[in-house]
Amino acid sequence: MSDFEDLLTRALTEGAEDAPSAAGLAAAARERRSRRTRRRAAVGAAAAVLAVVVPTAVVAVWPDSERPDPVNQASASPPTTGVDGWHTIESSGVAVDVPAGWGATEPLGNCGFRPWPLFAPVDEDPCQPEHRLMILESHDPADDVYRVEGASGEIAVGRTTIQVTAPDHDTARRILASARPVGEPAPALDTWETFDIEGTNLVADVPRNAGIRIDVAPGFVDCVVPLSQPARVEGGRWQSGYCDGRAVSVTAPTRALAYVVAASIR
Amino acid sequence: MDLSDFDSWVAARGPALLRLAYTLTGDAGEAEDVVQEALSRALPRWERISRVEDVDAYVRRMVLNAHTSRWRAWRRRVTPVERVADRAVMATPDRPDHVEHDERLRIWAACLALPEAQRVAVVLRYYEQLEYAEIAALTGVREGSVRSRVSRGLAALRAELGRSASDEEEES
Repeated sequence: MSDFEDLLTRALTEGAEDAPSAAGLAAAARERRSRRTRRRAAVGAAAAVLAVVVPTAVVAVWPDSERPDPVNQASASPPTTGVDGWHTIESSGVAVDVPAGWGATEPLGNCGFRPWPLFAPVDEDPCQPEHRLMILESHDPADDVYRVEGASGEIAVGRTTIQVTAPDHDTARRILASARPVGEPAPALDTWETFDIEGTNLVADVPRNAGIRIDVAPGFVDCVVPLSQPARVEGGRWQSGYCDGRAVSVTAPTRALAYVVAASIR
Repeated sequence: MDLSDFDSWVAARGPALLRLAYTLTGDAGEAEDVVQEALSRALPRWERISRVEDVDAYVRRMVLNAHTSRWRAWRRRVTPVERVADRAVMATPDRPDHVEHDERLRIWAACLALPEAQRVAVVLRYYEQLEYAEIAALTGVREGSVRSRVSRGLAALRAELGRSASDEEEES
């Protein structure tokens, strides 16, 4: 280290001693957490009111084979393994379903410094797997994204971003669509179909047994945005909108699934 | 959730997080805000965070994220101008290995005037004493980009302080 670099280190270190006291820091964090929770509840209630006043016609409802009664949604669902080997991993407050043979890679730090969890097929290079799932702390609340291109994509869940590179598009879509906060029930995503949305020239990719509902507003609409971010609606479900002359809303049991199905409309 | 564990960890590591945030922001109020924001987001998932291998690194990343988010929001509202340290003058420590007070203030102000990405890289490298690979992992950019940011930040600081810094070194 040069003299100048040493001088810089000493100046920053000495200056940092003027940092504020940590007294009461934990209590302040707890209070801030409470305020944010109350604010979100108020925003969610407003979004629900907005959602129900738009007149729509129900064009399709898919049964929900997995979803428990909404009043029980707060209870945690334990990690499960489906008949096709897919199973649930949980990390950073997020639950995601992954294919058989996927699991946590090397412990953090063994492959160089890496403070975020990484999951991959267990038979791939644990430090540089070709296929992988990363759960990252989102850098910005504005990074509320869903994107899937080919076999790669990402989706935001709360303050985390799920990034995946899978062997194929269907696997990537299923992984991303399954992302949910820990404790929310897992939607059934093993069988998908492409559905013609009645009265339109649009189609959507929909899981058969996940409790999806699609509504279409009558008439043609001057669209502001083609795809709206999901909002909480009545019954604890999530609704996302697609608009391209016709306004289509997708209601799903989880936020990610509403986003994925709405984004598939074409 | 084990709140007492959260409280114990914050009591032990909170001062270091505040020092890091203060070095990044140059402002006591902003430093408190950044650290409180990060900890409030860590709180509901503390049971899981407390089980990761390097809790310090994990929460430090959350502090950096909170700082970045706050800075982006601030940048959207106002046009950044050169910032000047507005701290009150303190007594010069009576220790020969301490940086002279005026020189330290100039270095501090010059660091705050660096572009955001360079400032973060310089602070993590020379205050936190992290390796380039660690900074790359924390900030989510490639190691080569970190080296470039640190190099450009140092060059800017030398251009701003070089002559006087050299003089100080020679005098000492």
